Amino acid sequence: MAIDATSVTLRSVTKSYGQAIAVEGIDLTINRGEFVSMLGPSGSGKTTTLKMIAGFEAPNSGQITFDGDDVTNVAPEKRNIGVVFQNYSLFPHLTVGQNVAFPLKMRKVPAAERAKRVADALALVELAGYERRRPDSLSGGQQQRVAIARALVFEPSLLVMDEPLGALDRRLREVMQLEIKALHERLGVTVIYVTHDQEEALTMSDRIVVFSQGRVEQVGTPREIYDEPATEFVADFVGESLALTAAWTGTDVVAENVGGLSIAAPDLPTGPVRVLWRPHAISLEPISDAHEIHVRARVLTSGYAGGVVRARIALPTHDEGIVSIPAVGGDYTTGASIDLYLRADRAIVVPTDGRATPSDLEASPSDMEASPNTLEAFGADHG
Amino acid sequence: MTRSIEQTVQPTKSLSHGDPERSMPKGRRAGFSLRWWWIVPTVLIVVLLLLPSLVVIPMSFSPSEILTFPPTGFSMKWYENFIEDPQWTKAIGNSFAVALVTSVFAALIGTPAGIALGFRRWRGQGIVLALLVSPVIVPPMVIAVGMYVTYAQFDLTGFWGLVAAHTMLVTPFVVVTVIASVSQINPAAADAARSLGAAPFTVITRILLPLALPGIISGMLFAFVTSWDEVVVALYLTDPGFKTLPVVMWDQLRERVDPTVAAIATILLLITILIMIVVLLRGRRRKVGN
Ligand SMILES: Nc1ncnc2c1ncn2[C@@H]1O[C@H](COP(=O)(O)OP(=O)(O)OP(=O)(O)O)[C@@H](O)[C@H]1O
Ligand SMILES: [Mg+2]
Repeated sequence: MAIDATSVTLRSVTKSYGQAIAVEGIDLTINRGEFVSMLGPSGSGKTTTLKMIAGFEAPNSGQITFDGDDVTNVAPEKRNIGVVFQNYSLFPHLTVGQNVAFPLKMRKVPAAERAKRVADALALVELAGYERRRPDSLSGGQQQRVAIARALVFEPSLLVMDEPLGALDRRLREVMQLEIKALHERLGVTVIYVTHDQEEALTMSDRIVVFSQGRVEQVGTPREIYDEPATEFVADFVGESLALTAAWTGTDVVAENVGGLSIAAPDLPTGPVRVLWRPHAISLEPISDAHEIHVRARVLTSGYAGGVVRARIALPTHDEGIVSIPAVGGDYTTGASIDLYLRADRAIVVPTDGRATPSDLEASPSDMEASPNTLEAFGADHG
Repeated sequence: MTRSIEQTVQPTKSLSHGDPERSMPKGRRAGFSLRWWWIVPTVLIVVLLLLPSLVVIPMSFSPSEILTFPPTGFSMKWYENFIEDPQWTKAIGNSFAVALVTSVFAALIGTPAGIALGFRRWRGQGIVLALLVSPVIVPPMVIAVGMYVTYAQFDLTGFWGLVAAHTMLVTPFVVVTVIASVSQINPAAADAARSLGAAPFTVITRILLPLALPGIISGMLFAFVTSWDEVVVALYLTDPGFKTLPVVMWDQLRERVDPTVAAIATILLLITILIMIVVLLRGRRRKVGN
């Protein structure tokens, strides 16, 4: 397959349904061959944006271009985009082979070539020889691979996927993530990938677009999003962190009951801020060569989570947070005190946005789950 | 009322991958069982409807000149009478033609409506659906009298008058069965087809119509059977030169009780049973296919 990848630009794109604004003023450039994830909580406008890119919805205002050509009002069948949905959307009355052949038939590809390309596309997703099977005789993962083969067989210049792995169980999802990533690297197609799973976005993407309430909150590489979140929302939504409420006075960042934090001056107007540390910047014991901020936290509740103890803690600044601590020695029961050492050079300062945090918006079942990140960080620092 | 009709219709192959029937617990559950609740209506239907209907079979083979039960002997003469009497053969031909043309017309006008109503939700849908199924709710006698008065004004009687009236009466069946099959289609399948290069019309012919086909066929069968034995409207709209089978049977029953009616009733019963078997087998095959 030789794919001629396209670039995609959105210029102040806005879409509302009646009174409800689904997305507002989206500006975005996606480069040729790039793998870009759209990440954000439920209802933040990811699918709406994707539908406008695919042509299923027309924006109320703004412009969408592919390789500089305005496609804002071009019909979906004329956009040459492969689309994969969460719920497979295979045609149930057609066999796997007929499903994959469908876009080729629409393009009037001769039968002999069609058969060959269908076989190639199925081989690409490791389903060679499945032509005659019915979609409903396949597992969820297999159906989704057929959907991917069908979306790629006509060599589209852009592949958009809306939570393609959302209906699969965790293990299969991880396998498929790697397969999709490998396909992207092999074919060089531009990929726009919608997910609300931050780990998925971090591992797969060249860049991540973080959505919140119909707007783009931040665009950056996974590293930038994780290490330099632009807003409190991004910091909270992507990855785990421990946050202190503080104030930036113009000369110093000060927190209640902790005092001056002596961290690098943030590039922000003075006012209330949040100071965050990722798990790898927190340890239970001081390390000599780095300047650290010492805080004493109190355990509110804790639970064993396989190798680590997950504890909800109260900080002297009246903030609360969740940390994972290696389950060796130490007293982490309710009421116990823990000393935390926060590395000054790894502090992330973001303006307080006063909005509800993602964990308030949706009860996150992963709250009490051990995070590989945290585990590793604490394990290393505590040894 | 449409709800209940929808639910009795076999769902078409859905895009969802789970099979709800597979996980349905069988029999006893939570201490009490719903399993035997089918008995009362089933027994009543058998005793009060099916068995009385079946007496026409032995009666049709009785040699006596009037309808009698039990039969007094065995004879095929009423069947011979039926085949030889042009009045009957003509009526059967008329009925068949009306039912066939009616079910084709009903499919032609009912299918697009069913697709429009079943595929996506929109405002005002409920009102449109209520209007579309009103022929099933309005009493047949009211419809018949109304039609007789108005259609006669335009000389719309005989074959085309009856086809027009029956088409209106049976279109709801097609609409409702098509809604039932189309509402099983994942709307994303249409979007997917568009993105794969299909223009809107192609989406209809290649995706929606094939998936609606089981519903169209079920609806047409209902439509055919309903038109085939509809008598009230037919009594008003037929004329001496054009009578359908139920009308001739009605006339005969009123004049004298000719056992030829029993022979015809037996044949009709046979045809209905055959149609039911076809319907059931289609349902079975679909399940096996899944
Ligand atoms: N067809 C529609 N009619 C009315 N409102 C809609 C429609 N589609 C989306 N919305 C609204 O637009 C907003 C954005 O929805 P969208 O589907 O884009 O969110 P999302 O980020 O894809 O969420 P999820 O992660 O749950 O899929 C939501 O508030 C939603 O209720
Ligand atoms: Mg969505």
